[in-house]
Amino acid sequence: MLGKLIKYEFKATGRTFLPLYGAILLVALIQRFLGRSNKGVFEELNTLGNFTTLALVGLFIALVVITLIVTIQRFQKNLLSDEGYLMFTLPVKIRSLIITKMLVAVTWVILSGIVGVITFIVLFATGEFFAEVGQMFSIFIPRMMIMLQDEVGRMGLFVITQFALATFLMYIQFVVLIYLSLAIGQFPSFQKHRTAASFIAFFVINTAINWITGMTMLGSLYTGANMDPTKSLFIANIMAIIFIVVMFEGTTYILKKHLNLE
Amino acid sequence: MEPILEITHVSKTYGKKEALKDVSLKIEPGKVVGLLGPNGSGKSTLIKLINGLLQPTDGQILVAGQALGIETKKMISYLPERTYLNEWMKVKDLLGFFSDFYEDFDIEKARQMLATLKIDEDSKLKTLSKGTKEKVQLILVMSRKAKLYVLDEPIGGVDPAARDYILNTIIKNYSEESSVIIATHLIQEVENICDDIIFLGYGEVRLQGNVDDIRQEKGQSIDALFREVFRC
Repeated sequence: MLGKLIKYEFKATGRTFLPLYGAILLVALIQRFLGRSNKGVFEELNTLGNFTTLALVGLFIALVVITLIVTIQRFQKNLLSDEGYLMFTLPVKIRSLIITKMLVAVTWVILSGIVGVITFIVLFATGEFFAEVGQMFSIFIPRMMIMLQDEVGRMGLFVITQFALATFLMYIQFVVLIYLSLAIGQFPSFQKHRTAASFIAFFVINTAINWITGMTMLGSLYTGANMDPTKSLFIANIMAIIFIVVMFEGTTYILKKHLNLE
Repeated sequence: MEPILEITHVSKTYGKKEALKDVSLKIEPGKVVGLLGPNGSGKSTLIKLINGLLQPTDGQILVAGQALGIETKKMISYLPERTYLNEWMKVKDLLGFFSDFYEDFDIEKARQMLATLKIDEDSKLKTLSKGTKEKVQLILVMSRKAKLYVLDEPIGGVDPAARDYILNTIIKNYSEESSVIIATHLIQEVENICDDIIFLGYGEVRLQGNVDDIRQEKGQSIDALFREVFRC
């Protein structure tokens, strides 16, 4: 059932993202093949292609904004408005409805990142470029790893993983916070002020999360645990996971017991 | 036989407002039941409770002997009062959607009904008129072989000819194992297809019983009786 929900969620959101990706890649291609000469990267941006550069920047900004809007809108419109009458009477777990939205939202962000990388390659890839990249992988990165290991001990790879995980978790936490805020906003007591209630819930909970995380970090400092970045990052990640789980369960609970479709 | 729907001492309170007060009723299989009441009587609240969209403050609801959950959602086919379908989808996408999520969905039956009403499967829902959208919703709901059909104002925004078609569709779906609840305030129209009726007023059951019995006992049509019971 989860698979089916995910399928339809992708169908619903694909209509927005795919054309945007298409536009970005198209402009990148135009920029590359019409505006290009064999200059370096930064000179590049100053010549013809100013228009396409502007368009590209504009499109990426639009992508960020649209991603946020779609994340909020899908939850609000498909679950908490008229369509909710359909979704909440399907023979699926309420939990599955929320997981679906979250998974698809995060997937689009990952795909957007990939589109960003492809755009970069389309714009700047040449023989030299690939040679440089090849060099980077075979020489520069291992060198960096050794430097990193000197700094933080044998756990270089672990640190990098923690960093990647941290970014990932931060975004998931952000998304689940949005869902929880929207769920809180639809309580009967807030009837005429749904949007305001959701905003306030968002800021209050977000502040609480930052405060708790801050205190914990400070606390771990005092117990002399360390100035070790590895451990702090690890703790921060654990905390993020806890927050995600708590907020997710909170959202599920609210939608199970206090659903208030108009 | 086990009742298809059993509501026992159910109450629903919102803060200070009592939407439903100690409502009890049973619906046996094979019945078409009219749930009649003025606006604000608690009809929608009761329907939402049956569908799990609200939790009762008190009392219990059983569908075919089971507590409300995923299993009962499989058995109930619900037509809400509003357009609840994804507007961007085409009619044929909706057929796929219902097939995907409901094992009891009869896609051929749905296709036939759509063809009879000359609704193009390729059209996007948002391009259809309100009346046509309602017909599509109804067709989707009635094409399921459910145990309990819950129809909230199924003929409200529809022209008289379509109303007849819809009511006929409801009757044709009759099976001894399933029941239909029609919540409406258009009593005259549905009076003749209902076996039983329930009058709901101010959150309470005011009257309940077999249509013919009541008509005989009270010596008037259900419509007239309704006007009397709920006189303003």
